[in-house]
Amino acid sequence: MTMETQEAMPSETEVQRGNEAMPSEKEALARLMGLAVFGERVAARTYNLCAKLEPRHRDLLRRFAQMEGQHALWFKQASEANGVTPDKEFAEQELGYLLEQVDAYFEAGDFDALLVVQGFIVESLAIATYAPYLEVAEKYPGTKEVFQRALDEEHYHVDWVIRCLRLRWFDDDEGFLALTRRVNVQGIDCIGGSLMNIASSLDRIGLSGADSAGAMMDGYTELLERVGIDRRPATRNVVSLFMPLMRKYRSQRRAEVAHA
Amino acid sequence: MPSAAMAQSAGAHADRRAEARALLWAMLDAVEGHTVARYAAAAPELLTPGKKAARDAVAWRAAGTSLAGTPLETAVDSLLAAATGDGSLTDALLLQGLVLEQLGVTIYRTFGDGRLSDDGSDVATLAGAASEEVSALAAERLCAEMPNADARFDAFAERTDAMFVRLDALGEALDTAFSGPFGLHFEDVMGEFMADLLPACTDGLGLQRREVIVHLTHALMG
Repeated sequence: MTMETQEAMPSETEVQRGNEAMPSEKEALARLMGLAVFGERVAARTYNLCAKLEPRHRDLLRRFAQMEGQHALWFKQASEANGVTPDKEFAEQELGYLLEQVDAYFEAGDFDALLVVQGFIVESLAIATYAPYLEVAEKYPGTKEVFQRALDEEHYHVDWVIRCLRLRWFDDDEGFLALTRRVNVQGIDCIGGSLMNIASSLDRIGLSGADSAGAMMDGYTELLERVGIDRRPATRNVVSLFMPLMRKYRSQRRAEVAHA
Repeated sequence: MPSAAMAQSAGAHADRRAEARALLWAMLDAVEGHTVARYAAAAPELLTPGKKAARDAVAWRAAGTSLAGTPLETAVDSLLAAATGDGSLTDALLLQGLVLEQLGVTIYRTFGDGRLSDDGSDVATLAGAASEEVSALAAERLCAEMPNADARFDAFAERTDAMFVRLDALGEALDTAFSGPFGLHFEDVMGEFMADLLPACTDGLGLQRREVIVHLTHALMG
């Protein structure tokens, strides 16, 4: 752990005195880094599965998978350099539902659904959290460079996924809308739910869970629009899926505060 | 199922729908009454002929209905209390003219689409058109009153926060009352509402879409 980070960490007593609903800064960082490291590994695996289903794009998708794997390694090293062990148990708990969805699409040979869940939903979560993280990254030496580079590469992946989906669905907007509705139900429940579950950790390190949730909702809606879905149905679909997640989050926060 | 039992079940469903319709009109009547009173006090130019006609039509359709003693009563009262704000012109333009009118556009369109009786659908069409007209007028007036877009966003964020919180609380009562009879859930209505509200904020008020959405998530996540 660097000196800077040691000074930033609260003492155990301070943690005990704090609001029990909120993780300590170190716990928060461990959860966030856990989700980042293991989420990137899942992303690498998903792009590899996409490559198996679509030989025409195999080389590029494998390259994407390598890039995601590289992000995972960078994040793990940067995390350890700051004395933080990525919380694997938390990440596995969050990512289990996503893995089930990914495996089901792969088994069904559903390349488009895999692209939407990875290239749009998962990448939207990454972008909605990595971008604001850069504002506080100076507190954790060595992390800014790797998150900036990862963020740039996630944008590159998303841009390619948009072009790919536009070409595959250029004459069938209704079909694409039906595809996203189908994928969104489980995908947003899972990834949006994970965002709600890290909201208090984001708050703890000086970011805002609500800002990231808003950014993810808006970012994902924009991606749907860029493929060709009208703004109105895109907004309606994404907001209606986030509403129960936000309500559940608020109820849990109230219960935690009441319990504390 | 024997035909007599089926008829009984269908009759019970029809009764629940009729009760839900009555509650819906009572709620809309409360909101329209509040809105018109606020315009009369703080923004008379929003009391257009179309709005007056819509208010009368809703009151006529709601005659004999009441929210008293229902779970909706407290939630609607709470929302309207938040919608009163400080009684200023700015609050009338933002809370009634923008938020409540856009909510009206959404509700009248959603429920007017085959979920109401024929005369109810006619009233919903009339009232929805009036809400759209008034919302556009309110946006124009707000832009004239506050030429700076940042100032408009600050006012929007500060003044609508409590309303969005109360609106979400109203959702639970709405689901209890309407999800069974109408097969419609609050999150679906909110999806429609945001799809209506966002262009009103971006195109009408010149606000940044991302800022509006983030403001909403802050209000809803608490």
